[in-house]
Amino acid sequence: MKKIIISILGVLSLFGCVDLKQEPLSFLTPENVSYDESNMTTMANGLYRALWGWNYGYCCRLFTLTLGADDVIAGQLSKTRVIVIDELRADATISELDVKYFWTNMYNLILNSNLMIEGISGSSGSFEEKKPYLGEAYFMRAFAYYNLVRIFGDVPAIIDSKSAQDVLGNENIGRNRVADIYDKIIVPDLIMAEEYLPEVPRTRDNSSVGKIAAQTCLSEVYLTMAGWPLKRTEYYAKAAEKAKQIIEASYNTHRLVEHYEDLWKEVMKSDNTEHIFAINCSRLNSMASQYGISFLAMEENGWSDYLADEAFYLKYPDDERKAFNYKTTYNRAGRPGQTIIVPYTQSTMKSPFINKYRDYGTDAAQSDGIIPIYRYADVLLIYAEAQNLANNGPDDLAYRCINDVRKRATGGTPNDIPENLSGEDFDKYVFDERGWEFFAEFKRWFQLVRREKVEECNRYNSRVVEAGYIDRNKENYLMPLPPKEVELAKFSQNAGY
Amino acid sequence: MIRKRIIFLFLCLLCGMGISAQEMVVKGRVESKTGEEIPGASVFVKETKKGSMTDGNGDFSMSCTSKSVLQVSCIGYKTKQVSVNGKNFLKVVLEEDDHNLDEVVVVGYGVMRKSDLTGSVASVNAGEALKQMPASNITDALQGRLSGVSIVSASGQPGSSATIRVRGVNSINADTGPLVVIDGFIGGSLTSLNPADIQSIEVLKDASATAIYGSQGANGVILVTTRNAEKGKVSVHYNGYVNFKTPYSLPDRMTPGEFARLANDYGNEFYTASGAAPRVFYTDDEIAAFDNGSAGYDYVGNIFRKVAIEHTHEVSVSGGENKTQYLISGRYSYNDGIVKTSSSKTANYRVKIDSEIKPWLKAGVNLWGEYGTSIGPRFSQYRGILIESLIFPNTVAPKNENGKYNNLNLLSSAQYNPMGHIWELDKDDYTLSTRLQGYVELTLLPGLTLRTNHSVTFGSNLYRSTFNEDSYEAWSGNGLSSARAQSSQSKSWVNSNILSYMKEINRNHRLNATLVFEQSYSDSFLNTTTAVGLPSIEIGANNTSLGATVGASSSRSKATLMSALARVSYVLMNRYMLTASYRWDGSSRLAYENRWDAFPSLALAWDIKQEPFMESTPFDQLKLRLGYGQTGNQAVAAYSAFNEYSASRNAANELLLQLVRIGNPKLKWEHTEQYNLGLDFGFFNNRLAFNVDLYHKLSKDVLINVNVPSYTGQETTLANAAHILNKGIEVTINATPVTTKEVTWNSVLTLTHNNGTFEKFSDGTDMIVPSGGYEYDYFRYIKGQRIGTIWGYVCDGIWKTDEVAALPAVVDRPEAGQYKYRDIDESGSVTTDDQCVIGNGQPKFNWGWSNTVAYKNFDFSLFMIGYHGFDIYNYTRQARTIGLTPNPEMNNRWRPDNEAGYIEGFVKTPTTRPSSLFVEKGGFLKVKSITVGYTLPKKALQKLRVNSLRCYASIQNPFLITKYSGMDPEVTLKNPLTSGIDWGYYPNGRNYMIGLDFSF
Repeated sequence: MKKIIISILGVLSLFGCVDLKQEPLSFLTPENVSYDESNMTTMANGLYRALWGWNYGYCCRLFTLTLGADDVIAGQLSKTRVIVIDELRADATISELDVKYFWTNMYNLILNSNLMIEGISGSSGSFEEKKPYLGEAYFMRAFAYYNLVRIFGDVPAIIDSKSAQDVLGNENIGRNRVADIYDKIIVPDLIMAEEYLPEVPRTRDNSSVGKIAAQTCLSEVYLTMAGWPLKRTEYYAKAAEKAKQIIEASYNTHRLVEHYEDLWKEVMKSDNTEHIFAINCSRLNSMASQYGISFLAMEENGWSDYLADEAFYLKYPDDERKAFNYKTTYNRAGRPGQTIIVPYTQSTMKSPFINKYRDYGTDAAQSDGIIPIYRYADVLLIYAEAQNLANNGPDDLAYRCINDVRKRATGGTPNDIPENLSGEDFDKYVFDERGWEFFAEFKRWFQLVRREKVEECNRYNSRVVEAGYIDRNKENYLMPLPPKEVELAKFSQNAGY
Repeated sequence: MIRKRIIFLFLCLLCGMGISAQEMVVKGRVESKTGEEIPGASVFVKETKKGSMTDGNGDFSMSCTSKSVLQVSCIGYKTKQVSVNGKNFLKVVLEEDDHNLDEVVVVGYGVMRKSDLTGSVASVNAGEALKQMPASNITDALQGRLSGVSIVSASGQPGSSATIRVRGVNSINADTGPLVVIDGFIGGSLTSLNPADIQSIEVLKDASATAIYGSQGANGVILVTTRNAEKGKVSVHYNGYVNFKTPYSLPDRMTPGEFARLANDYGNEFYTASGAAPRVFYTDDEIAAFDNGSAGYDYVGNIFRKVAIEHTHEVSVSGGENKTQYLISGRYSYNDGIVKTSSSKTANYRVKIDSEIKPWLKAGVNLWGEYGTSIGPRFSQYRGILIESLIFPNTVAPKNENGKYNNLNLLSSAQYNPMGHIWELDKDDYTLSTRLQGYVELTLLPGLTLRTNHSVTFGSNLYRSTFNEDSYEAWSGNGLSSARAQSSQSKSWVNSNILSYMKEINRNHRLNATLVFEQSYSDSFLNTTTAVGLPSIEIGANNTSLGATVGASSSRSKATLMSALARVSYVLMNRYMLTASYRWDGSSRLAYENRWDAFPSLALAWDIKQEPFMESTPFDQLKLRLGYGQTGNQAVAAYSAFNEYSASRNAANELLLQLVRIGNPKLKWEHTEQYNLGLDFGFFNNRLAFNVDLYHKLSKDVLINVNVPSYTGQETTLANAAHILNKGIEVTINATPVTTKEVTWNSVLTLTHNNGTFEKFSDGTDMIVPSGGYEYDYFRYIKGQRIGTIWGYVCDGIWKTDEVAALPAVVDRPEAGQYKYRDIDESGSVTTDDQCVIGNGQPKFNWGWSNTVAYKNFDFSLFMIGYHGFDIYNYTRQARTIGLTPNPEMNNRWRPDNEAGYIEGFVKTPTTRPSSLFVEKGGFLKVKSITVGYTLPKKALQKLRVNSLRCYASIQNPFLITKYSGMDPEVTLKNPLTSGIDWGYYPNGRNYMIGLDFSF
């Protein structure tokens, strides 16, 4: 018996016991990463990629969801397309993917921001060293919620990585009210970001946010809060004040570049002379933008996803911007060796093509370039609009702001608006100027919504009018929540969907 | 009576010992009852254990004493003892043992007499199966032979694995099919084996049998026993065949001329309906050119080969003396697929040595491995080549005048040219696995043995691909050339220590007890490097540092498992049997707190035939089995409990981190409880035998990627959230309708019915939207409903002009010619709430019928399978009706002058909705193989100086009988969770094979 036991034990002891405890071998976790400066940098870098999403992420979905603006259209014959938002037909036929991807894109950014805030706050080390990174995380969380409330209205406001409760402390997560999200998250986060972020951005270019980016965003947030749906008109003064603070700040080195087209050159993409914040893209480094072939018309052998709106084009004043922003002809092969230049009016969609992003590469599905978020022209026009609306009449700085933008648009030739305008007339100038200046920059729709001009501005386009979806009691101001999210979380859907 | 015989025998033996015996040489011949010589029968002297074997003529010769008793045995025959009694020549007639009642069956961690089995175990003689259906993959030959086991040839891609499920699906996240145990070593795949190396295959189906594998046993267990060397002189065996493979008939498609006319009809109907001027796509001259064949391109015809060739060669050498035997085998298989560029090459080797070093010590080594390559074009869910080739306009040439691909369809939508998938493919890969296995078996006391198995596996895998600027990857991505080189290495070991005790206490008690301690360890490493913007396409993935940017990523994963098992089986009076087992498993994949679990089993059997009252009944066999057991599934991927950051780069090529997973430390084993009731009975000297099993299998806490609200920042999270119930009945009928001296007809019919349903979801939800996209979107997991539920809209035909006119004039009013979907909730408009169950893709019933007829030297076999009672969602057909495609079915579209059309008219761009219109009956019958073989007669063999020679010819998949309109209904069953959807999968084809098998 002894022999048996010995031989059994002998055999077993040859191999020992395996360890059943596992530890991550090839990845970092928020728990095992050390919060030193270089790691905080990599985490902060991650936020920008989370905002970008993928090449058909932020850039693509935001462009699509805001096609209801009057500056751009979807580029296929109305009957052939799924994308009907540009006819304000945001209804059941809207592509589920657009709302779903935008929604998940923003909440993923919120998750990564929350994790970073929790991780940094819980780590040792000097607060001074951690501040700038916290600032970036707060900025991103605010920016994500700012996008969400503008597209969807009421959404769940989550500020912890476990999504255990909403910002009001409810464990039963529902849709929080837009006002609460502004008051409890967006504004406080941006104020914190403004305080924590350095005057010179971490990357010293437009690819990361610094103090001025936070201030610009905050002033635009105030401007938005003053309009639809909150209509806290007293916030126009706050918006103007914040914009003015930037314009007058000693650390402000931003100014308008001399020529509009210089803003859209690949070689200049990280330049922060005017661009305050932009997502930098690179197809070589797998963080591509979507411009390329999506923006080529079918006459150019492109996918014709987006084209310019002809009615808007015809109203657009002749200046350097117009010359740059539009492509109005295409080539057709004629007799051998001959090319015929054809005006856009003969194209299927009878609309000019968007030229803005063509320096970023055109024939591939992915391209380089930037996704513009804030530039100095924003600051100037926010001030002009907000100050005028706050005081029912422009001050000198407001005039200077709009005239500076107009002057640059003509390549340096002064092109001032008339003096001594009434508040109402001045506002019309500013309102239009924003349209021309930010053509196809993902901004026009939000401007129309907060100023409740969606209907008015779309009446110029006979195609939209004929489609018959303009007047819908502002139901088309908001997009539907992703249907699967509604089903899963038992949310109520936005009216009209 | 019995007792008297025993006493008599005993006395004889005693007497025999007392009388001095004379040394002598005895010769003899072993024959069957029908007078055929039996080669390879073993003959040995009982008292000295000296042995010999019969030669090709059934003759033997050996030295013994005049009083010796010879024991003659051979597989398939009953063992016989013959006293020499001083004779010089003995003729021994062996009785055939049709049903091998005393056959030994591998049951995992040991063997058992087949008659003592308490669980449900199906067994297949691999050699026989392969003789009937020669195949480069053993799973092809096993199809339909095992009741309760569904084997589906999932793809025509050479080298691909079949889909095997034992008694339905038990897991969602780890629906990986049964555990494969090769020669007692856990892990491996059937595909990686040289079929010629396999001796037998046993499938453990019920939990009383699989519970001994605890956390790995829930999906059933397949035990493979490889061939052992045979004692005797060196023998060399060769088997080889050439296989000519052709596609089934290709789908109907329009000629380019017909399609050009359809395009113009589209330009007329669609554009007119939109209020625009008609669009002319092709002029009459162009159409004439299509008609006379000077323009146009047959994409479908050009992605398939006319004939693809496969050839396989297997050689083995075996031999050995009494104490030590060896077997060396090798195989090479070259296999082209029916779709262009698809091919695989496989090589296998095996060196096996077994030795009895001392009477109490046995040891052996088994070194084997596989090398394989497999490449093929894009058959993935998104833009797979088959569907693309069916919908791409055949009026458009693959390339334009500049030599660039035409990547737009007629409606200017982006569509990569199907031929690019073939012509630009630049991939190579290989997999190499090496296994070093050995065992030592000590006999500590009579009946008590200790066996240590140790197996070490080294795996390596290399995959290289280069994508030029014309490739699909560049076109769909950033337009740049790129390359990817990926390699993985893994090493793993399994160590089992088995202490077993066998004791027979007189004839009434038989005890078999087993204790096992087992550990396994695996460590794998994956490394990928990429280059984008290649200076040289020729170098490509051979050097990924040559790129404008380069990237790298790696991952390493370790997993361990520790187990202990106790099993006891007891047989009382050959009649009452009991098997009980208990296994503990601890796994590193789970969070530390949840890592241990226990898996018990209990089975009882009653061999009624052995009861005295059964003696005069017509039954030759009657046995009742009852079993219960628990098994688990360690479906949790390693590290699932941890939050994970993934690393990537930004536009400035700087490192960045993003969270990819919120960990769930609460994950635990999937746990399956199964009851089994079995009955085995036979008549007519067991020429007609039945095995019937009924089972009830409940899998609890099945892991599932549950969709969570995206506001959590995640879309899904893994949770133990589903319960799956499988209930079924399976029947095997073995029959030998004809057996004469010249003709034998053997027939095996297996019948399987399984019903798998989602019993419940733990968080109280009634329906889960499966994650995975593509075909998964057409399915729902619904509480109380069967797995494979197809979900979508009910199509009530097409809106007719007068029907539309009668509708109120609202903005969303449908147009005449559009599909009319049913408004189930009567909300006034068709929304996502109007979806419902429109079909089910889980077969209710499947069967297999194999027939072997031996007539003189000819053998003939016919083998067929059938799957019935399921629907197929024909997505391939739907994809062909969307937009403008060269699909003859488009002639049945609605037109103002054809209100009876059932396909949506060219009125509005259709949206791809899951529609009942494309649900078809899926049932099919496939004749899998018809094989004819001829074995050379003895005399001819002697002239050729070979031991055996057989040549054969086989047609595989000759007939397919089905109402299904697609190419191959079988491949639609490839994924049990999305069973019954035709997503343009790689179809199987029809094969014509000739082969030769000989040994010397």
